[in-house]
Amino acid sequence: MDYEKKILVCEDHIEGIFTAVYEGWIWHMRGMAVEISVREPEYPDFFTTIEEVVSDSIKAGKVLRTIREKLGEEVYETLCYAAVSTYPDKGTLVFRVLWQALSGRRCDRHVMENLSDSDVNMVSKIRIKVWHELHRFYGFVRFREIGGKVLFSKINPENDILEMLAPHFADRFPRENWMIYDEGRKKVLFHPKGGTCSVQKDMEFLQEQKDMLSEKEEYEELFKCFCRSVTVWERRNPALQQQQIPLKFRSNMPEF
Amino acid sequence: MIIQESMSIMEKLEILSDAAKYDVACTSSGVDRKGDGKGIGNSIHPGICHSFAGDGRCISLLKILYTNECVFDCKYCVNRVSNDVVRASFTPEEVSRLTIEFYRRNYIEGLFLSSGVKGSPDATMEEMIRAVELLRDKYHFQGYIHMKAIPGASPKLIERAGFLADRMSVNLELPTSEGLKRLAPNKSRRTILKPMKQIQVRHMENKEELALYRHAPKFAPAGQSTQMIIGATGESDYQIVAVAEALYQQYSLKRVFYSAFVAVNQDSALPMLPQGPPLLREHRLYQADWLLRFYGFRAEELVSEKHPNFNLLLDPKCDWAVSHLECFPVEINSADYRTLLRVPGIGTKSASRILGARRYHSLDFPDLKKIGVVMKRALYFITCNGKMMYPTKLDEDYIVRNMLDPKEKLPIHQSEITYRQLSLFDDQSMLQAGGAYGL
Ligand code: SF4
Repeated sequence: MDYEKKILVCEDHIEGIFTAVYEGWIWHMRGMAVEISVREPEYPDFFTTIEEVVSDSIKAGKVLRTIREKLGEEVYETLCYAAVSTYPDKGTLVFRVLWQALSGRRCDRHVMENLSDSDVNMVSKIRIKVWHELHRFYGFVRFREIGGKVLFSKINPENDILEMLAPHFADRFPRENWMIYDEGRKKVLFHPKGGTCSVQKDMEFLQEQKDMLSEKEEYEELFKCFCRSVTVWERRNPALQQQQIPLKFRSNMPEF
Repeated sequence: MIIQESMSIMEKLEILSDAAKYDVACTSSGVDRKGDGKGIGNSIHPGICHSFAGDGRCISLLKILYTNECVFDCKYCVNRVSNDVVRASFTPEEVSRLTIEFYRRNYIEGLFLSSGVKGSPDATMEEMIRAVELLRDKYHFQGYIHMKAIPGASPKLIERAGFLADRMSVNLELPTSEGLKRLAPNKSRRTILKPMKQIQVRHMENKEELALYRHAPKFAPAGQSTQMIIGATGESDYQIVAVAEALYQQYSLKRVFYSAFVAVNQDSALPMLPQGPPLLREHRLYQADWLLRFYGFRAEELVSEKHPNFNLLLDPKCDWAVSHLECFPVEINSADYRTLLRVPGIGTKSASRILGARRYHSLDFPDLKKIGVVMKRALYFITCNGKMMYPTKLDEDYIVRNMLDPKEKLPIHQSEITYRQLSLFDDQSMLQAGGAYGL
């Protein structure tokens, strides 16, 4: 074999990563070391070839289905969490863990228990972080009623979890029109009353719309009042409060 | 009594959430319920925190009193009849609207509804039930509801409330019945334990009904909880933990909450707490409670007649371990789950991770670190393949000296009690919990 290593550069979302896994598998079967990156490497070494991977929903879908069927729901979820994280080498990690679990006819549903393995360990740590952020947003998303018709929320999550919020909020507010806007990634999750969720990318708001979105609401004042008055001031503890709800979340929450 | 007739919702909310804040049970946990697609809301088992108050505690439920009018005279309570405070009452419509509008904006997981006793326990309970019925029937609300049972309310009303609420609670208030007599003259152990028993029995019967008919209505599916005030009367930690254990065993409580006494009233029957509420003691009680519920400890293993109070410097598990050195060291590669759980620095998660990971190969100290074991606590108590991490002595004084952690994360801020300061007190007084609080 001429080349020692192949770096697959893919788009930074679930579909991109798992398309790269699909491609990488073939190369790795031929004995080549594979890395998956969401960024063009700055200093590739001499024995490395770089290849761009075009996201392909069919290939990614195949991989995801295989993981789900062969390794179970938990491993599936874990690897998805890893794929939406901000960790730069997540693609390679996901690939290596999958190889460990599935190569050579293996089918190790317990692969995530092998915590003394550093790849598995890292993926498990990432999973906890992303899971934690997702669950924080279950609580920290704040809707504001716009024009009496739509509930609107803006978030700035670190990890790309917007789509993962859909099942929870769709189940919770089935009879509402609501949307959650990921400001950093400029995409919006939209749920029409009685319907199903969809995601729209490259969303920009006009100034006029932005003004409307930042209008104060009566219930925000009431909630602020509530948060103040349930505090037991004899137990005041801003350090604990900040540990529980770091400042970065607060800009989208009316009570702060 | 000062009653204002035309109060805005904002004013009412301010008064009635302020009056409810000493009730610490604000979890929304214990029940998984999907929405049915027709109404609003659902519930997930671990609960969700929506915000955190200035005291660092989770805000999960809209925690309010229905009214702060009260004919009772509990010495420790702002709302007691003998206090001259502004009184307010919600209407059922106001409670349900506020809940729904907060819920739609994702401020809360649901409602926590308690109340002062307005007129009679039954009259109060009726109004609370009406508010919750509106929520469930008119708004088709499927989120979480926690309801207080008012001591003295008739069993019929408790039953109705139980079919509306996810969780019910009756506060024990004080750990001893003498304490209760002294500080809550209108309540008695009997009026508190009776509804508690009723809820337990009904909850169990309901489980059988549900086994037969899957769609039978559910009675308080998230069970019941209670709360004790800590440090208002002279009880020991042993008395408190023993009561908690009995409540778990005999009343199948889901949670017992401990609330460090906050002096809101001037009253000769109440202690003065110049250092503020006994937060460290409360913290130790929560740790011990955790050990009872998830670690297989029994109350008398942690505290006893002879050692009635917790060591304020060491958490209860470390404290137990250093006084039971005969149980150690534990071999990581062969010990069973229960034994692993007894090691300081190993929690329920890391214990089950150890079991999983050692199926792949035998574990060494660096592996334990990766798994999340807190090595600086565990290292005195474990071996990996027969070896200890460092040559260390299995000696009580030596270990305690090394484990005392001036940076232990304590829930204390205002009173700033750190190990450093505690160590200024002489040994005897600081080892008796409560000593530092002048009780
Ligand atoms: S019953 Fe006692 S604790 Fe409850 S509101 Fe009345 S005075 Fe306060």
